[in-house]
Amino acid sequence: MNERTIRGYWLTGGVKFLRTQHSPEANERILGALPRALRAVLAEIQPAQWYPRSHHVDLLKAIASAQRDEAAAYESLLAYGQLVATDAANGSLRSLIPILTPLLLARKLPTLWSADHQDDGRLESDIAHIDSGTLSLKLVGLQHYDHVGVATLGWLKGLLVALGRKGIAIQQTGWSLGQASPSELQAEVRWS
Amino acid sequence: MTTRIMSEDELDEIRETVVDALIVLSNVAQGDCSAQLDVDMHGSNPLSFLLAGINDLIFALGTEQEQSNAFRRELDERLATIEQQRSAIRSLSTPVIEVWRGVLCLPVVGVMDTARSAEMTSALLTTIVEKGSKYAIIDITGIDVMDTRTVDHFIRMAKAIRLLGAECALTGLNPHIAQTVVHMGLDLSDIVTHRSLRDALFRYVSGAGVAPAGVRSPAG
Repeated sequence: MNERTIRGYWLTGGVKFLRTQHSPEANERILGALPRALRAVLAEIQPAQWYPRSHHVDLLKAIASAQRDEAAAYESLLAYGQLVATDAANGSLRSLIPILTPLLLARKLPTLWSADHQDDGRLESDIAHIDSGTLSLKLVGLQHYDHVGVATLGWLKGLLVALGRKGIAIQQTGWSLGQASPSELQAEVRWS
Repeated sequence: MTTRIMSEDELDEIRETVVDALIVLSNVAQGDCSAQLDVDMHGSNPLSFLLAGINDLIFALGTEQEQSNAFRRELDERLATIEQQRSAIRSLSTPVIEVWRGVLCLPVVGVMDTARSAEMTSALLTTIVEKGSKYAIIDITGIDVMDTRTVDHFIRMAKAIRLLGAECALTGLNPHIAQTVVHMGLDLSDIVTHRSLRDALFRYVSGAGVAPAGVRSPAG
């Protein structure tokens, strides 16, 4: 079986997020606690190249564990995903944003997921209520991929913000700190 | 000529195809040329030909990228070799020799510049501390030209050595350099000088308290 991988820009985004969220001392402590294998590659990560999923799990755990409770960890993971999406919308996906609509985005979510995660897990979208500003999502096949579901919801929020949508509200079931990698995460995303 | 207006479904299909292409191109833009667009060449959709053209370009770009990476790797290897050689030359150009217990000698050959002076000072000071040396002899027999800047380098070197509690001597000044120093009004009074390395060795090896067997005063 091939090693499960993730695009490098999720990792560089994670490091950037930690820098923006914490003092230099706290950030140094958090990054210093990362596994040696991840620290060894952090400075040389290329945004479009593939890296082991385990590196991403380590970063996601670092982001979540830097918070005091579950609610704060959830918000932090969302904010991380949103930052990754905002950077992508201003960078690699810049030419895509003007043509995207929420409907097209919803249809292309599985493709966009594969573009970043190859065949690691699956992101499914239900566009039945998209005209009323509601998108249902399901993330499956992500066993042992702690916190990635919440980060993905933040990433979707970031893309919707880039498309000019406001008042974005997200509700999810499946994830908690105690169950960081549920076999299935369901979510409903609403916007005005 | 008749004009047919596209249906919303047809427009959506085109938009979706363009989005697919842009997603792949976004990865290409970041350096990943491994992806290709799905192209159905059996249909009559002219976009298919455009997508096939994009695929050809991505393939060509990927090939160029591989060549470029190979060149870059080769260049990196050569640069690493050059750096190794430079490092070897550096260490050869600043040979600090412990000629006797507590006595170091640094023979200087060639041209002194700021970078070389800094390396020499660093090597000499490090060795003085490591070996606990009391004396450092800088032999300039191999230097042909002495200007104010070169003298300044040696004065600074001597001061740094003194700060570590060691004594510094300059040896091997030839008549031409001595004349130049006097003529240019250069001040070497802060540095102990000896006519030859032999003189300095006799002085400092004796001063180290362990005169080598068979060493006699240059005067005697």
